[in-house]
Amino acid sequence: MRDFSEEELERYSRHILLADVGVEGQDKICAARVLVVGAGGLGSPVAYYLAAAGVGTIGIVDGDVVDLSNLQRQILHGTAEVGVPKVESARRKMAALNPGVQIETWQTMLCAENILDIVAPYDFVIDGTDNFAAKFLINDACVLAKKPYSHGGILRFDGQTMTVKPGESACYACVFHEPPPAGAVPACSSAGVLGAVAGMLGTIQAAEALKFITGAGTPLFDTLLSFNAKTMDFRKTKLKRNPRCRVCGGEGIARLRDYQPPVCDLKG
Amino acid sequence: MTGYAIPSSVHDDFSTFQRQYADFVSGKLDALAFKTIRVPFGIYEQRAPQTFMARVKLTGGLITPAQLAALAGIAQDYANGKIHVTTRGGAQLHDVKVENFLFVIEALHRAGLTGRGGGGNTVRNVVVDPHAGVAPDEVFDPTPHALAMTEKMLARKDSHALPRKYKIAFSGSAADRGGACFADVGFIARENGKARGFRVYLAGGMGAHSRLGTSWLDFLPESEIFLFAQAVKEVFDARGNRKNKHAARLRFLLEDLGEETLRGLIGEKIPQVRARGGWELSLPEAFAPPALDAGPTPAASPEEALWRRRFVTRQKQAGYYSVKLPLALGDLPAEKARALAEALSAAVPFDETIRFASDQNVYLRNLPEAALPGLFPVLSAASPQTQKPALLGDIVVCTGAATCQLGITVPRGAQAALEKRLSAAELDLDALQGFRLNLSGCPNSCGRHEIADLGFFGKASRNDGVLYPAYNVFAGARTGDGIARFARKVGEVAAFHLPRFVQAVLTTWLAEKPGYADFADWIDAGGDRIVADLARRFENVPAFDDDRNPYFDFQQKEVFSLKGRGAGECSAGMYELIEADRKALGAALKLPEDTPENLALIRLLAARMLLVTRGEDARGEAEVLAAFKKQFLDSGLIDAEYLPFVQGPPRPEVRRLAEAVVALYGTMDNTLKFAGERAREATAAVLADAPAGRVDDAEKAHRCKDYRGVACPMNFVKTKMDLAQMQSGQILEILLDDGAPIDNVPQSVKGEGHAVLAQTREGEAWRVRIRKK
Repeated sequence: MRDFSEEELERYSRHILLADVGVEGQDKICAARVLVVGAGGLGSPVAYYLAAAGVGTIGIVDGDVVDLSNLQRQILHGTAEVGVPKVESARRKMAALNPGVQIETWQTMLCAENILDIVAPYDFVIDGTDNFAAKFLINDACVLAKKPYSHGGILRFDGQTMTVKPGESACYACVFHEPPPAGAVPACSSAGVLGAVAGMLGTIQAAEALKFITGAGTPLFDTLLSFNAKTMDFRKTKLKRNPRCRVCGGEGIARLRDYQPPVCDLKG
Repeated sequence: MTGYAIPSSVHDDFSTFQRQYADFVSGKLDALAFKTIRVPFGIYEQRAPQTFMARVKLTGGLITPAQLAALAGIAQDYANGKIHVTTRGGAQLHDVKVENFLFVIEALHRAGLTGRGGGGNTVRNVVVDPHAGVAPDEVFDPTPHALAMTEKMLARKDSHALPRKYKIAFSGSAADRGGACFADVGFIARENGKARGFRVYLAGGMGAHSRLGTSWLDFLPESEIFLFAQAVKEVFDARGNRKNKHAARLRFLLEDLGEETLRGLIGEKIPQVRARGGWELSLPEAFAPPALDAGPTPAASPEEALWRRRFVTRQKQAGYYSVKLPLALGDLPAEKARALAEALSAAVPFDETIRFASDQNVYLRNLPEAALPGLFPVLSAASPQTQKPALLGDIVVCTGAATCQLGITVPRGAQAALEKRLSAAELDLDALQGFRLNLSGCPNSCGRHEIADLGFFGKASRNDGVLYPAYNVFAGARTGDGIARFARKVGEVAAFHLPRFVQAVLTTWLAEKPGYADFADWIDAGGDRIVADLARRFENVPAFDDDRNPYFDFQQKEVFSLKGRGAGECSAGMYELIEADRKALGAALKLPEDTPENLALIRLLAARMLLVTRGEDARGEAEVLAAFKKQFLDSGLIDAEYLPFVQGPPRPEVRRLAEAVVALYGTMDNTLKFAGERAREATAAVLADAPAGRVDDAEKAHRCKDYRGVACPMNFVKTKMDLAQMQSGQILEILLDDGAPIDNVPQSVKGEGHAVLAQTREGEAWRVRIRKK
């Protein structure tokens, strides 16, 4: 058991007060390592809440620099930081919020070649990307490396998320098989998205990570949660692992490949 | 309009009382259980075992001549033959025997009087300005409102089991002679156009923590006074502190919640009470005596003329007079009361003639001038105070150390000496009519020093190591709507010099008086500095060996001492002594030289500083060191390693001893207990509480933590931290503050599956034992 300082006891008191978290749960949070892929609309709230919660080590991957059009939803970045690498801007905000957490930045785009090395040291991965190629790559890598992770996606007024425990619960490919053909579905950066929807979904993902770390409650395993912010309808869809899933079923995949278009060329 | 009507519920309550009284007498009900039943009926036990005091509710002090005669009869038959006027304008009968309870209550009920709500945590006697209905300055007579309020409150069950007492006061004018500004709920009459209503003050009161009422509403229509008072009462009932009676009054709730929150709660409650109905009042007509043709004024003897100047005032009703009957300490002998009742019945054809007042005097009213000559001899016989200037009869004192455990000095003795001195002095005391001179024996406000023109509270001072009785001096209180304030401290004087000091202040004030509206004005305009200068002349006393007189308190046969004066709730007098030594010690420690003189001084101050907390007042170095050894070293409060330094010539190590004493002082709480002591007592309490056979080593706490001063929810957070670090089945002991912490933490601990083994009160705090799940 970690020896909490007075300052930490006070900072995390509202976690410790929770019967399902308590000192033991906070101890796990402080020892946890979480990787957030993408420091954009989803990654902003996720990384910020995880830093606030005291997650011991937070990795954050993003190859982009801050663009003025990001600021409508990517709340980790400020106007003065346009042109600054997103991971750098994110690190500043997170460190200011909670100097007690370790922040590891990866200023790169994930691709088949680098992803396994990057996810290796973490206990949990958050998918905060904005395109199908990246989402499938993350799913494949997490299945291969047996890393539990939270999938998230938003478009216009809609959001969806599921939490995956490779080998035990349905993976992203069990449900969605393959990325849609290029151009069939617009990325949110080109179709538009209500900024707050990013916050709604990102905070759900952060909560999932914390639930997983502490063991409190039931994560969204085998469950797809989707909502529409216009009607505020939330829906849960029960999922089942596909025994013949090309990624996690049968023999599964042996090695990674980049989906088209190449992830590394995409602007986040 | 001659007093309240007793609601039928009180008679029902009395039937219950009779049954339980029978059980008590036959031994089926124990004394403690019966206490909770008799106290709300106004029956308290006195100091002598098996003798009781019966309190009688008199709303606004109203009592008819017939009731006064009946009360006199009860006092003669079942009590000590005196009627005592209380500080809420009610009455008390003393020395009532257990076997006479029922007779007393029945006789009171026959006379239309009751003690219900006379004591305990109830709605207390409603106070009204004793001049209500006759004062020329009043907006209207609030007596009917007070009566209607009393009847409504008496009839409700929820008025008799509150967190603490609940005091209501009414004034008819901005002069606030009813003390609305110092009440839990105070009403001051106002008119808004033609509509009658009241300005409302809330959460005032006097005590160890006095507070002026907060101006709550500018105008409350007269029809809604009960609605409001009931809503406040319900909020108080639901939220008041039932654990610590010393911090339970409405004023503590206000300070706890903040004004805004309390306003919110009351604001939510009012519509609920309104919707329930039953809050509507039927206000009786205010009494108006029949118009008089003023006849020729009969010539008065010189004695009667002097009495008239002192105690008789003209009413707003032409031809009618009010008369003050000053009483020594509020006592009216029964036979004098009966004579007074008969004289009044003969003099006027109506009952509205008597009011008992919260200044513990009786006020007569609605007397035609023709009735005065006949009343003069009756009143002169009723109280010797009628032959003295009003100032002397008006001096307020508490009982002080003579009978009160909290008292430090004996203000009744001071008052007697003061009266003697002032009577002999060439002072025009009649020109000082209305001057408020009040004395308390300790910082509590029983002697009302905080609302005096010149007020005093008792303390202990020290001259050359020897204690002597002294008083802190307060000056310049004001009462009145919007201007009320407490008196402020201007200095201190030796008790021995108090009479001469008061004489000096009054002489000065008489000379200054023509230039100022009142004493408070003079105090504000620089009079405070003059009074402070005078006080300094009377502050010091000669050395003990030169003149021992100042070291005796008035009327006491032994040298003044705090010995045996334990840790009361009012130890402020002791704090001053400790602080004085601590300051001197600090100064001595700053001197770098280790001269034998300085080291000896350090050792003496360090050893003496905390002795008063043990009820010791040793004199002389040898005595002080011996007492220190016994109280602090032998008891283990100070580490025994210092033992060598209190023996023989002082050594430089006494500096470390001094630091240890100051550190120990830092752990002292306001019951004058130190950290080590508290832990020991708590362990003893837990051991005493534990069921027999379970007190073994396994029951000893594995961890003890002091979370006093740690607010919610951090105290629970820390408790969880402790439990997380312990093994299942181990015992954790924590100290928690009273109030929210003790209300919440054990509950939350249980909620997480741990066992709460014991919860024991410890001074202001609580000790809680927990077994980890």
